[in-house]
Amino acid sequence: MQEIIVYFLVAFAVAFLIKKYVIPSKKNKGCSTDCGCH
Amino acid sequence: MSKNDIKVALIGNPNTGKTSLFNQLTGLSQKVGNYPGVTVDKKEGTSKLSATQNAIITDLPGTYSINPTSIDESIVLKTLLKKNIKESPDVILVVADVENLKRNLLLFSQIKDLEIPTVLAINMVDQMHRKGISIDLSLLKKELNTEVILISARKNEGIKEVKEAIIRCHLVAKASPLCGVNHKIDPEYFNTLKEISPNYSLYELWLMVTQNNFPGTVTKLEKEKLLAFKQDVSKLKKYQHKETIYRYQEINKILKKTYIVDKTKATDLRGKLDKIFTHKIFGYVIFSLILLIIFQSIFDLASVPMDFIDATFAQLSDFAKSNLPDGVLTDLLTEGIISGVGGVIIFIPQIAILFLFIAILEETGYMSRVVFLMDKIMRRFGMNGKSIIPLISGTACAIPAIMATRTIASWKERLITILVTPFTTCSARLPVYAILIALIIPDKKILGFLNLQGLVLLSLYALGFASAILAAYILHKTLKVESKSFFVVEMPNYKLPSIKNVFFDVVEKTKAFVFGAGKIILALSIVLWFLASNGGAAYENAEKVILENVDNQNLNEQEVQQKIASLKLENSFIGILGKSIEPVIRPLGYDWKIGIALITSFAAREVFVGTLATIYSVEADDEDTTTIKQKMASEMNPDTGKKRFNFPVGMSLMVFYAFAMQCMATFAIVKRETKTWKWPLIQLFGMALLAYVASFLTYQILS
Amino acid sequence: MLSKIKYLSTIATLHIGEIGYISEESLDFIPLKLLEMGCLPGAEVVLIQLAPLKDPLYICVNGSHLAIRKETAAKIRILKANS
Repeated sequence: MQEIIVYFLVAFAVAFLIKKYVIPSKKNKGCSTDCGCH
Repeated sequence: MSKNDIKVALIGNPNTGKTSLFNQLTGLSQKVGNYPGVTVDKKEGTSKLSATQNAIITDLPGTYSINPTSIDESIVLKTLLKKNIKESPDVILVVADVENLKRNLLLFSQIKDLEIPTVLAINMVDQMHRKGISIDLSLLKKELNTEVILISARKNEGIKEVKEAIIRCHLVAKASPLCGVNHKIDPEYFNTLKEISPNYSLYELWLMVTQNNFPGTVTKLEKEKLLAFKQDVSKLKKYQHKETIYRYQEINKILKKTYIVDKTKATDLRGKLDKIFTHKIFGYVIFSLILLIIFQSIFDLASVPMDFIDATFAQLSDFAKSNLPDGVLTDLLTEGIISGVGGVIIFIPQIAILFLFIAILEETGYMSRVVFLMDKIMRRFGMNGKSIIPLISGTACAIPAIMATRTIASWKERLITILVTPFTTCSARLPVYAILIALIIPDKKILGFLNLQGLVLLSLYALGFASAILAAYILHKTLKVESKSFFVVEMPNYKLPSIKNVFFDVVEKTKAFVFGAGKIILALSIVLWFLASNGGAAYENAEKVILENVDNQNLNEQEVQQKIASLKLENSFIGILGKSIEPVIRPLGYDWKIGIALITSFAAREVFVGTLATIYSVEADDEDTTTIKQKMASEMNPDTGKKRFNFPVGMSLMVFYAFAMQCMATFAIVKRETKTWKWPLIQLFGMALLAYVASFLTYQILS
Repeated sequence: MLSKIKYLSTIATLHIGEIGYISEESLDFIPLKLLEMGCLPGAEVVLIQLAPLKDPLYICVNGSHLAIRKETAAKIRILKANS
């Protein structure tokens, strides 16, 4: 029983990290010039 | 939050006490969230306007004009041009400061031209007398065609009237523009512009053209027509200039009738203080002294709460271990989660204290003088006077420090600041330094009073700062990034810091660390725990192997357990990883055990110490550094027959951590702020390479 | 009575405490942001303090207390009152 919870938590932690680092942000591209400025 | 809540946007120049007003209106209900699609955080809170009416107040970044020059300021533009019913404000509350009313009214006039219901709150009126200022309020209201309230946010005066004004204002469907400037500049041009769409005010259309910012509701045809207006760039610039001049003409006309300053009554405290604080020599001396006081205080004040937190978490861990049933989950909880969370919480005192000092310096207005003093020096290294704030903040934690770079207008200067801030010695490095210094630096005094250990620590801080500056210089000369350098900093009036504002500011920045870094550190702690508690066949057999050999040695139960733990770790996944990198780190004087600690410290640097504790078979919940120290001191290098943690190795490790790649939490924030993988990866590999080379040289030279 | 002799200089040539008035021709050289902060043709400018190496300059223009860089200040021509 404990094992199941542990594996779930570990998987959750891994998924969180993957989401944070691997999945590219769907938003704006890189800013190479001042954003929204002149 | 209900549909009836009035959406209010709070706008104003920096240094007008806008934050005070926001705090008065929303109090503890304020929270920081995310603007969709942008990295700047949205500050929001609810306010009870009356018994039946609530408001959701969004505090927008301070700006001098709707035309933005930095990421911070572009938020104001984006919010106001949104026209998406859900996002756009019902009422705009403009905050002005009574002393700089003329300049503040520029922004106000722009806002009014958007034809959104607006309320003007003139703040700091408690200072009016001292400055010899008098205002004809009723005439001003008439001239501006707006609700105008005189307030003192700090003293909580006028707040009720502001709330009432917001309610009244909300009932007005559409407001009329103030300046209607555009016609005077070039009637034909602007009439054509206005005809493009009836759905927007003339000023909105003008902003779309000049700022290249089109709300979602603009049709394709409309957009095409608007883009045609952008063809003549010099014309646009000229018209913007003329617009500004015209606005000021109108403002001057109005103020002449309504605003009088009797200079003889005014006291010039600012002038007197500035003579000292911006003095060519004393200015810098005072700044250095202040820095010294700050750092000394951090060390002195932080240790008490830190020890308390340390003890509490150790007790919590013990409690959990003895009261929960034996098993994997309990292990995860005590060794992974509790220690992970504890590792984050323990830094709060240090970080909060540093941010407290910085907040106080900012609130008093002194920080602007520091920016003034430091700009020329910072420019040499490709940064901006404003970069000094992130660099100092980085000694607490790089995450809020990097977020503070948002006020830097020039992209190149901002980028360089972001990339080099992690070089400054953050709080997490301290436990690593502390234990290594205790191990290899003798505890004696030189010159009779200077503590040698303290000196080494100080030099490590200096090393961090020096490498930040040097890296900035190199980046400055090599980075080919397009950007315009621009620098206009307001020197606000000196004022006493408001406890409320300082409190909310510190809480906000500390939360950024705890939740920003904390989540990542916790997740990594869980993963690392898993990797350290599981392994292949050798791992499973570890217990058997030890027990078979135990009769040969006279060990008690505790020592046997420790030996089992040690062997298990060696054969766990992480142990295997550590062993595989050993050949690479051996030239630095490290072995696989240290290798494991290096890997785990990727999550958070201070994890290094905890990992070593486990590796050297110290009791997991006994974080007594004397014990760890003894163990590390007695650890032998099997190849040389001498101590593992000797002077060269210790120095090599400290140098490694001075330059080592940023922790994963910092990596995440750099990625978020630069909106690309490129920069955090360059930072990672650059710093790792530097750390490797530097510690290699250190070890080889010293041994 | 001698008429005041006014000659063209830039903000960068002001001495501490000296007053100048921004000239009309400077309009093209004043960045929009400075203009928005009150640095308008005809406005009064006084130099309050200089950082080492004369950069940046701490000025008071049109009632606003600002710090600007020398390169920006050097582009803005002023009329000095000189008697």
